[in-house]
Amino acid sequence: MARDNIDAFEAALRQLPEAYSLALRLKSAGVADEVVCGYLHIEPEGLDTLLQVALEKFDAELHKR
Amino acid sequence: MQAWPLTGRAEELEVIADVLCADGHYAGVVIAGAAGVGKTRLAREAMSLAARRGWAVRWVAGTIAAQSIPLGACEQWADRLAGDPLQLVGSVIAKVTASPNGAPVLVVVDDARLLDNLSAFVLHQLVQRRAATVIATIRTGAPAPDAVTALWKDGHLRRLDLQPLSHGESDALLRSALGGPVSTACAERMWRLTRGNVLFLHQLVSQELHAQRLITRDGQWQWEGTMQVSQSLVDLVDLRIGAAPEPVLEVIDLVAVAEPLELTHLTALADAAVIEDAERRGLIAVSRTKPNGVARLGHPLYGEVRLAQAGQLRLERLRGGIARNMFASNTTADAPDPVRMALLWLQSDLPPDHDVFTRAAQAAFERLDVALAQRLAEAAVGAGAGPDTELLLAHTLSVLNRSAEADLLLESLTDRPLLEPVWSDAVNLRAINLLWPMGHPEKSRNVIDDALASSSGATSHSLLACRALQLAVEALPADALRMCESIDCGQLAALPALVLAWAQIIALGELGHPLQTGAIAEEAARLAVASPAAALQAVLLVLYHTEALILGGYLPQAVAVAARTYQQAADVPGVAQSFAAAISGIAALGSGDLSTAVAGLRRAVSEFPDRTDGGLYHFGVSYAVALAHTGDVDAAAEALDQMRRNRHPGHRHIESDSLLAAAWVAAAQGRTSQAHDLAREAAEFARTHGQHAREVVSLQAAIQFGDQHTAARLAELAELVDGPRAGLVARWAAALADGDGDALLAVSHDLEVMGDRIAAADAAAHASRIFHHRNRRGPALTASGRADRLITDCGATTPATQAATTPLPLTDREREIAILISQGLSNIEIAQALTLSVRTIEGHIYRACVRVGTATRTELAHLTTQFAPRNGAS
Repeated sequence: MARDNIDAFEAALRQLPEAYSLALRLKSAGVADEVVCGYLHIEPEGLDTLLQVALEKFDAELHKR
Repeated sequence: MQAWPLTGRAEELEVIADVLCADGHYAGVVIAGAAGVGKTRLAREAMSLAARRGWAVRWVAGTIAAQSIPLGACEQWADRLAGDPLQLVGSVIAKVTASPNGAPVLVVVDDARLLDNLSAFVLHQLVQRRAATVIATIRTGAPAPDAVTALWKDGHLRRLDLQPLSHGESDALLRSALGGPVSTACAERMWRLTRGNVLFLHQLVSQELHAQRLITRDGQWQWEGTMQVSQSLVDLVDLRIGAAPEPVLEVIDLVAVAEPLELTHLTALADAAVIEDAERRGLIAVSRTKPNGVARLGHPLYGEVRLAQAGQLRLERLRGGIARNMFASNTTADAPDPVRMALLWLQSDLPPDHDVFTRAAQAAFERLDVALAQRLAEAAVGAGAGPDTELLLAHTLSVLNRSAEADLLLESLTDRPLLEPVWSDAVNLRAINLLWPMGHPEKSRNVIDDALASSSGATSHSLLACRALQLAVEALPADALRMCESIDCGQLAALPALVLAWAQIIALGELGHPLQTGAIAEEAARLAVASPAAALQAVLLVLYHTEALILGGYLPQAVAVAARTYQQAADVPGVAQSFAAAISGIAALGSGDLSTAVAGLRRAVSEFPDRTDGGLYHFGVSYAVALAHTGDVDAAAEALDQMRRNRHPGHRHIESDSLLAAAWVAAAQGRTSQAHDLAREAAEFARTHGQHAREVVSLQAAIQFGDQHTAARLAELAELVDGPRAGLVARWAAALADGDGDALLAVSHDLEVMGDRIAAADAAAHASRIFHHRNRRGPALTASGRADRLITDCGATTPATQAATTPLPLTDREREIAILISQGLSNIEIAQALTLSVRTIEGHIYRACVRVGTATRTELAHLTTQFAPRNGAS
């Protein structure tokens, strides 16, 4: 992956609310769902939606650049 | 300051919009999050969007004050809360979901964790039936009613965990709210304190604007001063509210103790200018959902902070003021909810009023909140209420499984010279409480006998209704029916009339006149509308109506009655649903629908495990039979053990059913001889007690276990018992005795038409074996195929169908022993199980080995397992 892309991704992640950026970082690091839920203090039933919102916010941040 | 704009929630709104637009999987969204994160704001925005798109929208809010009032949160849809308890929830749902031109309905439930149980049940029903789309907000980390938690745990609602805003979003919100650019230092300081919590930010900005520390300079908002701001949202809220003048605080407290509080009451207790001030400060919000409007707290946290700080005396005074004002308006058209008024009264400085508490107790009972009804009735009795209320209190105690307390109270009531019908109601209730919840049928009889000795006229007729019921459940149906016929129904009030109907239905069903039970059941359902106590009894009464139809062989009718009850009970929280599930299970079992039977009966024996009224025994009997039919031997044996542990002396009339349950479990274990003996024992019990219809069913089971000597008795019973079953089973017995395969096949067809598919399979299996013995291979195969189809459709297994599909040249006894060997039993154990000598067992094994050409008992067992994979050895 190009360095520019990595920088843009990192910048976008830093603009997200903390819980969303943490969720995306943990998932991309291959952390198990239950561990992610534990870190975020959310119930397992909410994880899919949280990740969806996180990705959409992430995309929105990327496209601002 | 104006209402703040919504910022940084575009993606969350999209999630909600997706759920609203899709015809799909979810019935709505639950927005979960910490206090102040913006759940309500997001829900309101979604509601506005939906309204603009043509949805009919509804708003419900849970509050601390209304949490203990049944249907408190849904009061706006319950014009007249009194009435048929079975219809109450249904009518609320109908009003919530009614919309012009069939527009889709969106119900927003704010702070769903604070819903009262009945409103939570309404919400659950709305979602489960997909009757409306729901957006619910809940605060994370706080407990919620089970019915609410189940909404997302069971996958009905999509869970959206709302997070605080990002730094950038928070800055954008601040700019937008203040209407101009904000200095970096100000924004940074605000962010460090509030970390994206919108309410925190709002409170902080409001406070600092008010203190004039947040000012514009050089075209930018600056935050000046060195004031130390609390790090906690709650502290900040406290600080902000605390800065309000005392009269405003009193307005907040008034709303907090009775939210939502009608403006008519609020304006009677506080100055209009002060109320306006509280509204202007955003501490309360006024809406016009009622003719005169209601006031709510600006945010639930305001109430939590104030209630935690307020002294008990202050709260009691405030509640007293509201309750007194409600009482004064009691005669107007817009009368207050009696339960709400009484709960405020109960926790106020007002002197206890037994009339207020009694009316509320009755209303709570009608809303099926028995625990609250008990609490209010107890308060009423403590305040000097009369015997009517004491009777109500005893009733609630009995329903709540506090039967010993109920008995003490009822004993004291029946010792007093009370007016009618209170005295006879108390006697009857005591007798029923002793019979079922306490399990003392003899004491129950004595109570009625003693009371009858000093009674006459209408009083004695009421008592005789209970006596008839006692006779019916003592397995004396003929005596019970004679007693019923001696009673003048015109002299009975609703409850004894229902008790009489109960006795009649049991007796008529067992004597073999099932069709006569229909009209009685309909009349009982009409009576049940009269009172909550009767309503609950009426659901249980359907059980006996269904059983009467099953005994007679009216199986589709039984399923229809059960389905209607199940549908009706879906609107009734609590034990009624458990009864309805049991009734459905029993009807399904009668028709060989084993998956429905097992599911319904499992629910009935699992819920309310502390019940002592015999329900667990009654339903456990059918549950064991259903499991035995499925061939799940271990589960069936466990269910049988559980049923025996729950054995109840107040249900002697189902003794033959209990024996048949043991018989079917024995059959599933491969002990067909034992099963047969138990079925015969059941038939004998039924015969000696004149339970003709039960005797038919018991003899039918004996036939299914291989008995070929029932024809004569069944021919007699067919003359006594109405309905298709008795005649068909008599034909089955005669055909077996005659060895007439064609007649058996015809019986199988007729049993299938009747709806008893398992029996139809067994009759076909019998036909197959007879054709086989007569070397009529074609008809044998046809009959065997029919038996296999029917039994497979039911997901069942029976000894007869196993024998028909096992082409081993063994006698029934040899097959039974071979199955027991395959289960690992020794010859001694087999001898004990079949009550035969070991030598006899060895002889059977020797002959079986010779017939099938095996050298050892192990080979014989292996062969049996191969040919009968669905038997008890599986």
